[in-house]
Amino acid sequence: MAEKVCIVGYGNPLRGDDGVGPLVVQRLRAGLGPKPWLRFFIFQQLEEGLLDDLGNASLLILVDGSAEESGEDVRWRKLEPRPSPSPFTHHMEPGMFLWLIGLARGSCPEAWLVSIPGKNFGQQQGLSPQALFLAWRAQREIEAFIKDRLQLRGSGEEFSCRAPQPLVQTRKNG
Amino acid sequence: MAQLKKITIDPVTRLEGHGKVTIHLDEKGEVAEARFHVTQFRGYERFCQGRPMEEMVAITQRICGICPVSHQLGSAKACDAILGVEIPETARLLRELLHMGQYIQSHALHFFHLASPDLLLGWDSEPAKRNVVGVLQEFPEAALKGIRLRRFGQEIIQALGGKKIHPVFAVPGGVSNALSPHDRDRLLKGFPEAYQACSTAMELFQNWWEKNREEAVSFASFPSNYAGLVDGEGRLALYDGHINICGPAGEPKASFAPKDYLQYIGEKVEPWSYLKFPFFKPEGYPKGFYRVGPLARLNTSSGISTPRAQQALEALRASAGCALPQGSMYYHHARLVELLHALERAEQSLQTEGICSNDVRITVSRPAHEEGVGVVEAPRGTLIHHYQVDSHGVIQKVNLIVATGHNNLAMNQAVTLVARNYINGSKVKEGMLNRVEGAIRCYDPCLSCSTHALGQMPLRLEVFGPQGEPILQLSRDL
Repeated sequence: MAEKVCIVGYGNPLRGDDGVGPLVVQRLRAGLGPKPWLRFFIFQQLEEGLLDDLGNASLLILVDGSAEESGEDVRWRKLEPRPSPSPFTHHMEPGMFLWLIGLARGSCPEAWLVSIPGKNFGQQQGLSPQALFLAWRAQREIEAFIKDRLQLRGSGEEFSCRAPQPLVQTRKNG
Repeated sequence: MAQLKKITIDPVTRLEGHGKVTIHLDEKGEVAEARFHVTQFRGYERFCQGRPMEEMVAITQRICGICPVSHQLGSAKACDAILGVEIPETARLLRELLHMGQYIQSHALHFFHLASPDLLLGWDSEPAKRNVVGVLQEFPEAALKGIRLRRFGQEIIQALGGKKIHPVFAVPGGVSNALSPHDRDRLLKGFPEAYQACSTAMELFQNWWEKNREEAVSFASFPSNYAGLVDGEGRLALYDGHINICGPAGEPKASFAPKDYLQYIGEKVEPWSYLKFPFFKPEGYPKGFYRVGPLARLNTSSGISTPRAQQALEALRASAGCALPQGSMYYHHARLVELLHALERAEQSLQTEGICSNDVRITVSRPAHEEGVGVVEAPRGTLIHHYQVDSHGVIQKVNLIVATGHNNLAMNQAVTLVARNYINGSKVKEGMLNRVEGAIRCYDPCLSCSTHALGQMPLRLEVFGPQGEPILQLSRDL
């Protein structure tokens, strides 16, 4: 069966390292280029309105900055569907999001959460040096993961990456 | 000294924003008084002073993430009045379309996420499940329809303003861009499914109503004045019109242009809430309280201009057995009638010739007036933006009266009535406390929008004896 991959980076770029997920996905999009079996999404937060966007993904990769992760490395975690209501309508756990997908589609895709430890989550633009470095590492790991998966599945889809982006922060005006 | 008990529900759940309810019991353990406190402080009326008028559309819509469009439109209309312009017809149609997109997403959100857990799962169901997750588990098909309906409203907003929340669209003098024929055609395809989702919501609500009619009809039911915008024929108007205020039997009490609101609406500040208390001036405070929002709008209007919603309104009135239902639970029914109207009105707008015209803005270099008032009906009720500017268009003074503010006294009344009927000091069950919250939830309050009163920042817990003497006071720093 052909693989259909959705990569979702979520977080607020105006809250420091919370923007690392969107940055990773921007770079993946630029590096991997357009492919019919690969879709990229950048959201501020996970919410139920996003269910239809994921269509019939067979593999879902969520990328997020984490204030809770200790250590200085990218952490991968396989997600299980888990209904967990939040008292706030603006917050949804990845397990809950996966559970909703299962409810909408009748089945859950294989799903991974890529957590990148951050240091600064205050009101600021731009990432900390550590988050910036780990964003680059996360990008490489996700590219390798997808490549391995395609080779294992013998899907035959062409997979190539462009040269990695330089480690330079750009700040948008206005 | 007799012991006075106080029951506090904090935070109140499944509302937008943060609120607290305190219920004061007397020596017998019966409810003496209940209050709905709003504990948020925002301050927009103060820090907008000194800003260029053109910025107000962007600033004030950030009061809220649920109803930013209402603030954007109210602000733009106030600026239009200051500039002395009449915007092009296409711009008016597009602003109204944006407005309907917001009604669709807001009312769908309220019914499916906030209200339906109580209605579909029951007041006394397990708290851990009495939420949108519980609804998704028990009624998955209906809940998913609700999610998609909300998304449809957001798509309308995004097609016009570039994003779902805080879109960039209405500006002084018109709107910032035209609607493309491609987007128009794409949006029109979404209506059949949207109507079906609305119909599902109505069926669910009516099924619940029939099973719980006795409680629903009398729940937080009290006479009041009602206020809302109406068009030239007295029909429901959500974007533009004049303000009608009527009494509990529908007797007309006032009808005036939005710019004259200060002659009829006053505001009182109470020390225990950041939410001001608007009142109908001819009747004074607090007697002159009135309700706004879905039920109030339907009660002040002679009918609805779109056919399916008009039919739904007639069914609501037939079910109530009167033209002006008073019970707070009717707000949910009225909200669904308005949801249907918003769908019809949005579809009509998209089908109007000229909707894709590029004539969308008039630009003017200097203000024509030093004052402007913009009024729209936000999903929660009448929203007033009133600005005073200097000759350069710099804001000197701002007054914002938000829907939830208009309903402040009514919400307090509703909470008191429900508390008296359902709570006895010796017995307080979880489901009973939820009924108190449910009374507030009928009004779909948006607390982030409505709190602008300046003052101290008291976070106080107070207990009073039966003679009003303070027994205990605790305060905490921020």
